[in-house]
Amino acid sequence: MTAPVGGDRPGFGKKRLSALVGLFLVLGSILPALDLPRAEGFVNDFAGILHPMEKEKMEKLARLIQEQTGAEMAVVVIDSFAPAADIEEYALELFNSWGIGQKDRDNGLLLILAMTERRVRIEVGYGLEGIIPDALAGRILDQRVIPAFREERYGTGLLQGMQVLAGALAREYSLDTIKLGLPHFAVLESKPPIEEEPSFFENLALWGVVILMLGALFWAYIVPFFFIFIPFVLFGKKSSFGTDFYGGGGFGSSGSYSSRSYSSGSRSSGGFGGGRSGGGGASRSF
Amino acid sequence: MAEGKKSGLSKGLLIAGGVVLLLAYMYISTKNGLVRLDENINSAWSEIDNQLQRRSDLIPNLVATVKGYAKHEEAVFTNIANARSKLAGAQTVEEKAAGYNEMQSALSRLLVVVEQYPELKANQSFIGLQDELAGTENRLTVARKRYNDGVRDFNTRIRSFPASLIAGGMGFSPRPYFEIDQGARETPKVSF
Repeated sequence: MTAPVGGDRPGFGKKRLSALVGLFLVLGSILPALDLPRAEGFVNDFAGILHPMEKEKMEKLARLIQEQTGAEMAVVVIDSFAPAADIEEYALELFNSWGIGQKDRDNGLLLILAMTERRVRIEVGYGLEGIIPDALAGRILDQRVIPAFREERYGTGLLQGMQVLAGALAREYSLDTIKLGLPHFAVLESKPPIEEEPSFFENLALWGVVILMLGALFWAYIVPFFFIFIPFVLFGKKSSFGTDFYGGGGFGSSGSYSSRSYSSGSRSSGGFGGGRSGGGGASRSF
Repeated sequence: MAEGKKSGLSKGLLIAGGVVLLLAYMYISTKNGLVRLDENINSAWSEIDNQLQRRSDLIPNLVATVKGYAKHEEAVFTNIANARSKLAGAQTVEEKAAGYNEMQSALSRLLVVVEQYPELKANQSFIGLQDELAGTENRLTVARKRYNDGVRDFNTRIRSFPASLIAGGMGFSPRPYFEIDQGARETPKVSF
């Protein structure tokens, strides 16, 4: 990636800085040359290794998941990720360039396989990092994807990986796993084992936050209100700033939550919604 | 005569007013542009900070797991503890970058040690922690790139005309890059 290279002679200031700026300008103009293919659908087999029936199965699952949760799952098989330095870089560029996931929810998933380098990666959009933490992504690869890949059953491995990912989404959104056609191994326990009863201190912390917020509200709105309101009452309309206050919208500015329906297909350029990833997920060699 | 002078005067005023307005507009739009670039850097920086923090939070668990298998590698654990406390005390971008580099090399050494303990490599919770660590590394790489890109845009802007005339007066000065050591460019990895 475009990491600035720390010089071997630290501390000769400006010259190095401008050299760096130059380096950046050069790198900046070179980088977008990563030649990314265009999306053909949820499943994109650019290496031509998948059986049409496997492909169809994966497409169907991805479509169901999109209709029911809004999340977008993409499967990509490429010959090689070159000239990118590693599969992480390629996956990130592809993810963000296609915009996998909805724009305001960043709920995309990318399962990508590079045949030449024998690397596979699950890339997780910002919005799903809580549902599919890196450790889970790694476990899915270890348990359901890699074993099939070692037997050269690539379609099976990718499908199983998708199914467990879909299982994680199904758990989060309480979907019917039978209607999704998920096998038993993809049905995850109803509650992640990490979640425990909040301890006494966590409760205390929660109340602390509530009290702090109330305090902030008090200082931000109520105290200024009296400071402005009282002089206004005392000195009548001579007080010039009183009217300003009543004119301004106090609590009015409500952040409107975009309530667009999941299934309606407002899909952008690559066919995906415009979601982004910050580099979450896990990779494996096989 | 008097009328001509008056209209000349008002024409002059009009032009002067136009110039003043134009200058004010340029000043404001330049300033707003710089503020926006500056904020980009700040938000990218806070992402780096988040991920550095996240990694620091992961490390005690990782070290504890490794210690269970490799008790005699005290030097490695000490290095990590030192790097971690150094990073915790770092304030400026340069200090954090230095702490990052030190932590990176300490972690590489830890992962070299790990290679000698096959049972540890097969430990489920170790694999999970390693995935979280690798994910954090990858997010750090992304965040660092966004930060450095932001700094490049900002520094280029305040050094070029016309912003260079007023940037100093507004209190904008070049921001530092988050620089990493050559050796640390390679994310330490355990190969599974």
